[in-house]
Amino acid sequence: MIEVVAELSRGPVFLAGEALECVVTVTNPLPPTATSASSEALAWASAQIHCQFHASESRVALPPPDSSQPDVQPDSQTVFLPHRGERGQCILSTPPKILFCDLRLDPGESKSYSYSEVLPIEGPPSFRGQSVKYVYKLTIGCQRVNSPITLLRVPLRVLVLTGLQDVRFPQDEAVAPSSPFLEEDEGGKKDSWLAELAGERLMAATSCRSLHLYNISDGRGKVGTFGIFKSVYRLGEDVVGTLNLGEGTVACLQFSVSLQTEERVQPEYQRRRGAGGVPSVSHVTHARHQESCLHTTRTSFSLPIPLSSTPGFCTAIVSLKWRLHFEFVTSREPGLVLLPPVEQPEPTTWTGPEQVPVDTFSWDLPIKVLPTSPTLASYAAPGPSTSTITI
Amino acid sequence: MYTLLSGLYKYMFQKDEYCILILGLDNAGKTTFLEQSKTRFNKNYKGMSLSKITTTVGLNIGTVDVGKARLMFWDLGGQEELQSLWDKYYAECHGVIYVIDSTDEERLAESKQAFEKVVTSEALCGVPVLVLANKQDVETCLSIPDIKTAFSDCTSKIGRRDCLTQACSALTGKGVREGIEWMVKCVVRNVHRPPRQRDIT
Repeated sequence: MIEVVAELSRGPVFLAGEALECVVTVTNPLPPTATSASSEALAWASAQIHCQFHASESRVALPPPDSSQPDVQPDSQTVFLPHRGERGQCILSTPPKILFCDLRLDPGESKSYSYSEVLPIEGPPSFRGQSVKYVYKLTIGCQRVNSPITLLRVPLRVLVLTGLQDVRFPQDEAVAPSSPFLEEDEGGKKDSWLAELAGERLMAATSCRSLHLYNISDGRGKVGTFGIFKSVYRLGEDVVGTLNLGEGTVACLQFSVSLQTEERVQPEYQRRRGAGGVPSVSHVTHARHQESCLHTTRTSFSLPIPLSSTPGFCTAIVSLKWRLHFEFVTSREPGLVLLPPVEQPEPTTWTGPEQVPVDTFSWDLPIKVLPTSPTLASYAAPGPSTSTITI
Repeated sequence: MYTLLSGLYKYMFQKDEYCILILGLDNAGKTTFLEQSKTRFNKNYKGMSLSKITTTVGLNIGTVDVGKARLMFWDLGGQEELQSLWDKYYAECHGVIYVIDSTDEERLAESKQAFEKVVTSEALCGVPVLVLANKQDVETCLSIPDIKTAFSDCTSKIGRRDCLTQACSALTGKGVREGIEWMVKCVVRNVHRPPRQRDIT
């Protein structure tokens, strides 16, 4: 019996373009003094990162896979296929790297190997949507001589920051006082240089603050003004907005604002259906604020962007966009009807109207959500960074 | 009489089974060759798309029937680290197909080194070796004479065995059938390594 442990040194979240580091430790757990102790042998171990793509058949119409030309021996247990037994199709994989070959372990002996691979920058981000899923894993294959291959799977989460491909893009000096190119001279720090550049790129994109004001009106007049300082955010940030209702001519009774993502299948891959078909667009609400605001002059809300959610992205099959979705309930009658009369000759009890004719309308404001640092994102899902299997 | 009929049945339908190793550096085209062989010799086999073939780690297994012989191919990973596992399969094999990338002049010396280790191994004494100069469909590839020159050091080390160098393109299938038919002829007549006999059941 041999125990194989894979440990990600920095948590399971990575930025595309970064190097993934994993330590694989192989142990013969029998104590040296055990009577049944004997040395154990492994032929080889190899590791590969891969991304599985799965599409909902009721929503996505993929071209039929070449059924006449299936993947080579998909159930083969003699050749290392990291996606064997996995759902969906493998759309991206790194070359296999051999960790060791012809390993012999005496009782109680342990050996550790280091795996390092750059996550491809052209892949999609990890995403578990309604229509489409992109799932990344590091899979380690091990084989004893004359035995089937055993697979050890380490789940990963990959964030993608677009624009990193053109890393030569000139930097705004005001936002990045220290030039990222200086560190490029130290060859060994290329990976941290990329992470630093990504951090600076994120800072530049999400630091720009200027007040944007939007007039909110329905068919009969102005309801209020919405103010927001940023249109670009990072995962984990709060979306803060201010609503000014004091100057409106139409009384607003209630409003809600939801932080949503919209997952849309690209037109050429939408499943065409008759009436009642499954929609090719779906929405997920990540945070919501609701308020009764009849007599409110000014109010604000703060909606957190979950660290575990997916930044906006676009692939050939699917796109994901973020937005603030507002819903307003307005009174159909002039505002004064809803207020008690100012002057009363004698004391009396005033009650608000029992029924108020209302209108509702909604409004969507697109925002942009970018990744955050992988270290920070790792806190969202403190899942295991260690995976174990016994052969 | 039952014994006679049973024996006759076995004689008519038995297949002699031969294990053939497919060796060579990574990216030489071993798995593509295996895939092409299965397509050409097995009528009902639907091959995979050759463009989907990726680096082999471990062992691709394929079976091909040629006349009364059944060839069981073992396509082993060719990465340098994996070559130390090749010799674990030598004792059981009846033939070796060594695949060379004719377009990779830079690694020809490396390929020759690996080939030399193969043919000088005691465990492969007398085993027929088919050398395939692969990727001959590429315009700029090395010719057979070029490759023979690069491998000339090995000539004296091949020893007493059947050996053939064959131009081929695993991608287009050119040279594949000829190579395999030659290999079948050689393993059948090699009395030092009798086949594994399997009755068809």
